[in-house]
Amino acid sequence: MRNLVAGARLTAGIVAVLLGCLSARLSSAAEPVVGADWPAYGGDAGGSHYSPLMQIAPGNVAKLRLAWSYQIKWPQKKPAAFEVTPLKVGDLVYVCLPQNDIVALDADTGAVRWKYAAHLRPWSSSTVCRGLAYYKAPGAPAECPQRLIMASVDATLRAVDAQTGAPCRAFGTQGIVDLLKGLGPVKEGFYTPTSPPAIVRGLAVVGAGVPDNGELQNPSGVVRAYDAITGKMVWAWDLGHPERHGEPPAGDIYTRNTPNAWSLLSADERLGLVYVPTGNSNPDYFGAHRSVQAEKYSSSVVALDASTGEVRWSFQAVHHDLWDYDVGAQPVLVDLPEGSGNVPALIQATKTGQVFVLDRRDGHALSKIVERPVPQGAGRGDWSARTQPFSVGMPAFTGPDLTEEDMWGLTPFDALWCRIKFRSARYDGPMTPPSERGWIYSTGFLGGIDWGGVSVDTTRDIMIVNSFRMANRNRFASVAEFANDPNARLPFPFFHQEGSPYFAVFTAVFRSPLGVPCQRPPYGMISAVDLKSHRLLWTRPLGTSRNSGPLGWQLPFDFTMGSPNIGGSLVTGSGIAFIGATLDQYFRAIDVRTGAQLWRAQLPSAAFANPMTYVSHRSGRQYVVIASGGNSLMAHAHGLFIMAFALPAPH
Amino acid sequence: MRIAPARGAPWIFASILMVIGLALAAGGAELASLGGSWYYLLTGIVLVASAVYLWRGRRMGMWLYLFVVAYTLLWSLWEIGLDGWALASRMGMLVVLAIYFLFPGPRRRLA
Repeated sequence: MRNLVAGARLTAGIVAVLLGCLSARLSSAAEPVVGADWPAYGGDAGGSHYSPLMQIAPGNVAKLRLAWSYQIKWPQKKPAAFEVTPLKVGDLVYVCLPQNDIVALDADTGAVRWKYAAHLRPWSSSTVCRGLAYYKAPGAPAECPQRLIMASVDATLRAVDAQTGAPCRAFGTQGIVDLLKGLGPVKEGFYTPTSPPAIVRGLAVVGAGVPDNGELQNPSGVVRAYDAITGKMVWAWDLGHPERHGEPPAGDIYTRNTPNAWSLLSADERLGLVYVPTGNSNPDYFGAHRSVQAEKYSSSVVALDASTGEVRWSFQAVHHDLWDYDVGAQPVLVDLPEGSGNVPALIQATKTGQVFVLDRRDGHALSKIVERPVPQGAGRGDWSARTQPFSVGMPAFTGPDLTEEDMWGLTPFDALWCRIKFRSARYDGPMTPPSERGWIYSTGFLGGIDWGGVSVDTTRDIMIVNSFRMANRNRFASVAEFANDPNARLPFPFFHQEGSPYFAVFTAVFRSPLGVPCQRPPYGMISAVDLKSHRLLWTRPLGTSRNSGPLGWQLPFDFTMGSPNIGGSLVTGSGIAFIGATLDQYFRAIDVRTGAQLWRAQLPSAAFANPMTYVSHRSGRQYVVIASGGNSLMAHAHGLFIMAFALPAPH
Repeated sequence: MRIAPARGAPWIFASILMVIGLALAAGGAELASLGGSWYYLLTGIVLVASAVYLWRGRRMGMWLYLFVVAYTLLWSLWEIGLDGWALASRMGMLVVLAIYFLFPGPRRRLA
């Protein structure tokens, strides 16, 4: 019996290897599949960050070594955030740099195969590119049969040949589509796409970032779909004009200051829907002037018809958002066991630490959501929502409510300072609204769960969540505080609150004068949730105190702390979650079943990015790849790196 | 009343404690007035007393200081339990300063 089982396993193994070789042979012709390839930002178009690969497994992951790395020289003074998740299709790994140049690297060696220089139009803004979209044209056209489509921070959409890096000339004008069309006057840097387009039914769907607390005349948050071959606009979702699906009529523009979609969209090719996580109208902390439509669609996930841009359904995660709780996490599309069969679900993690589970066909809740009364109040003339949705059927990652005893500091002095601030500001638990005496809210504006999102092991139905719990301390500021010209740039972290009775808001992480958090650790957690029972399987602090310290010092002490984290995880078929994201600059492998750390490697900089994994067709080796470059706050002193890890090569 | 330190008294250490005590008492008074913990106000006052005794070369100053360390530990455990990070924040500075009394010199000089 035993031999029979072993024999059956061996046969299955041989078949798998043969199939693997076959699929490698066919790879240039076939659609790329997650596993050998990583063809989309989130692995698949639904953002599960799951790869079925098994080569790197809990039993051997401790042997993981750096296989290759690729360094991008980057001036330290040049602001950037290196948040890219590379793609891998065929033999090439595709990386976009913060200023939208693209490099194609050899999957086995990291050697540069081609480069694309973006030559952005002058555009004064911070630079970030989270990734690229890959599109394989049907019917093999002569030009760019396989292409990369990139939404660039200079408000352009670009298409380049995936084999050569040459612009696809038939796409827009010489490979470039101007996204400023129809937006009306846009100040430099006020419209900055930073996330890859979603590809669905031959279209590239794209939103953009606008400045937080920018101005009431911020550019529109319009979401637009472009033909992936020609770059022609096919539809627009301008929530101020639900009846329009094309460009605005002559003389008109897309509705200004509507909730925007800066983060990662997901697409369901079969249902023909694209799922859009939305932000908020400006400013962040005052909302009396927001339009009815903006109120309906802000801080939501909106399902749009992929062919027309019409709204099919929407779910609002935060009503009348006064906390900068825009939805940053990519909606994750997975099929979940419900009753007798599988239901197409959408998992929406949010900055409040709530995780909502919806039926992605119609938006109805698959896990219980209740509207709970929340603390009332707001800035003068503004209002607050009576209730907010709480996903009571799922574990929350908000962290416990703050108490005075949670106040922390390096010394008794700054702990005392924090206690005084805690007692003098308003804090009434989750969703504490703005208040003229100053207010503390937790989670803060970094989440909860931000754009790093969650990953889902779709074979075991386990969701991996990395979360951040650090409160914000805010206060309104009057013009009298600023002796200089009121039109001048405000000192950080003050931001104008145009349209409110307040000149500005001070909004920052609740920190002591020594620059340490005003609350005790942990700040970062990693957890696993069983998506069948909705139960928390395990939860642990993520990361150590390494590179943290007062006054911005980066101290070497390596104690388990639970680090602030930016970025997300991936999970593999072998049951490993890979994650960087922490300030301690480690890249980790974690056992999906237990939460135990199986392996870690020190990186040159923090990896504020999601990892990806693939198998090289040539060598058959599995690689796990992550971008390590930190951001402007966590200095990328040594440049930006793409780091690829693999097991030692077989002899 | 004599203002100058007693002969041989640990006046530098006493001055440090005095500054710490006054700062904690001042901030602690504000915190208590906001409805917060009284620990900082009381501890500030005890540290000021400890500083005065040390200034005068009196061993009572050492005992008062060690009393603060002891009840701070109990208070910390009562407030947050066995949380290393929270204990470090509350105990760190007090314990580091307590090392001073481990040296025989300062102890000998106190009457």
